[in-house]
Amino acid sequence: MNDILDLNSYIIGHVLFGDIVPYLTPFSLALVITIVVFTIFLALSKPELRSVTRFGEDVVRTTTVGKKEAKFRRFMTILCGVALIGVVTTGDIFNFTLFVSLVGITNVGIFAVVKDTHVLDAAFQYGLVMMICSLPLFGGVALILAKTGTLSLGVLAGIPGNPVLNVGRMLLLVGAVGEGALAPFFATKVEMIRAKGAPYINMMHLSSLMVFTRLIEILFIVG
Amino acid sequence: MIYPAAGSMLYMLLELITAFLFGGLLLGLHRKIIARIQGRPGPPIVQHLIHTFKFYIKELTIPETSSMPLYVAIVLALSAVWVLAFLVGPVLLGPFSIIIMCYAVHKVSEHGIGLASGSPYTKMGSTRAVLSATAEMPLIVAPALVFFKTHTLVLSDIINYQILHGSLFMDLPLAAIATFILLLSKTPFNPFGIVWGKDIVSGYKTEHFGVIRGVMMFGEILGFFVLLWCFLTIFFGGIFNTPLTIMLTMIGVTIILGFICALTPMIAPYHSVMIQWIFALLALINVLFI
Repeated sequence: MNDILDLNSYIIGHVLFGDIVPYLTPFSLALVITIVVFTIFLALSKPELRSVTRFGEDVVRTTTVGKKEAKFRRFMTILCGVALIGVVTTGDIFNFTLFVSLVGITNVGIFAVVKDTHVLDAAFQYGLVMMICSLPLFGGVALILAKTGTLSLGVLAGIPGNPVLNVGRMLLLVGAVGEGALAPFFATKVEMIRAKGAPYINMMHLSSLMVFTRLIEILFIVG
Repeated sequence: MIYPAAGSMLYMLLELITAFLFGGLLLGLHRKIIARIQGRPGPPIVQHLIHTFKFYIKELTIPETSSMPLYVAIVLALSAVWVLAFLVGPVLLGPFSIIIMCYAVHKVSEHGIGLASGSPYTKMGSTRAVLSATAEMPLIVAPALVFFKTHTLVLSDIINYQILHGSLFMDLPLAAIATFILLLSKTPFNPFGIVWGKDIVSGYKTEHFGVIRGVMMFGEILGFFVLLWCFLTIFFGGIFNTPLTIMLTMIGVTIILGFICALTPMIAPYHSVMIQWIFALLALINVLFI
């Protein structure tokens, strides 16, 4: 537990569930509040009327998001928010990887119904990156489990670092970076945010940075 | 005379107001220095604060194309995260990880502010905000090095470590420089400020006026103060650990930032990201000294 305390000063509360111990620190509480507030506002917001200008035309067009499309994307946004709460509160690395994967899937879902070739192409490529990165993501966790016999962050925090754990951490880093559309795998994300529908697009950026901040904490704790 | 107890709500509120006023004066000084270097008289130092207050009495305009209530709520979120960062950092000396989170949410808010109006200019600003988020590597590298060196990310413990062992700047100079570059990238008129470049009018802020612009400026002033304080506390905490020394050093660093901003042009978006990455990777050399 020392590393968790060194990072967060104290633990507000935890739930004993075998060796899987979801816990709440001031850091994770701040993350949860941020995610809940953002999810509520993003779900309540109506899509903007995007103004589009083109070279060679002296007109400004406004584009809209259809009701059916907005409904599905709003659902995916809320689901992404729920998955993010799992990412930041879990005390088990395997659960972390599952929630990160769910975040990736919902991110693709947010863009899957957008009727724009560029956006769909980018979403498809992001899906490919996600599938490729699932191997290091789960491989890293498997390596950590094989070496230490546990996936509980509370227990892992007390186990000193060693080369195998470091390799596991590196794999976890690569996997989560790919699933969360972070640099250097973020190129498709920049293409995807060309889509209309401000509230839903913003959730993708939020999820990337929340996964990233939580990932840093986990990498510090393990080993 | 009765003073509010440290840690009480009133005490925190007074500190918040003090930080806002002092941060506003620092940004005013920053503008003054830039103007003097460029041979202009420049605005008075209090101008940035007056500019902020002015927006609170201006008419609030909301574009018909905007995404409501996101258009207003995201600005409040930007200010709220910096209030949280201020309370966790300078006031309570709590976990630095929460300040990293606040910085991340600041980037999300920049993106959201740009998206919410429906304007192509703000959209371009928000796209650059996503792009520039990848340039925040120093924010990850520096805390990682500090953690490996001090085995803590709680600010009070980092300060105590430096009082006992000397300032971290001596052990992690490249990490300090990388963090300084990050601080520079959050200063107005800086060479990395692609998100509010004048080539896209005012970037993501183009469509925000009236009281919400005032709230946005309040958040930005507080953000500048918090980042400046974090830079000095984390790397020079062994030397500057009293309010007076920290405030004087903040003025000194602001003057340096003013000189840099006045003498450097704005860099192209991809170059901006690349240069910040180079400084972050250079900071990793400090791993050898841990």
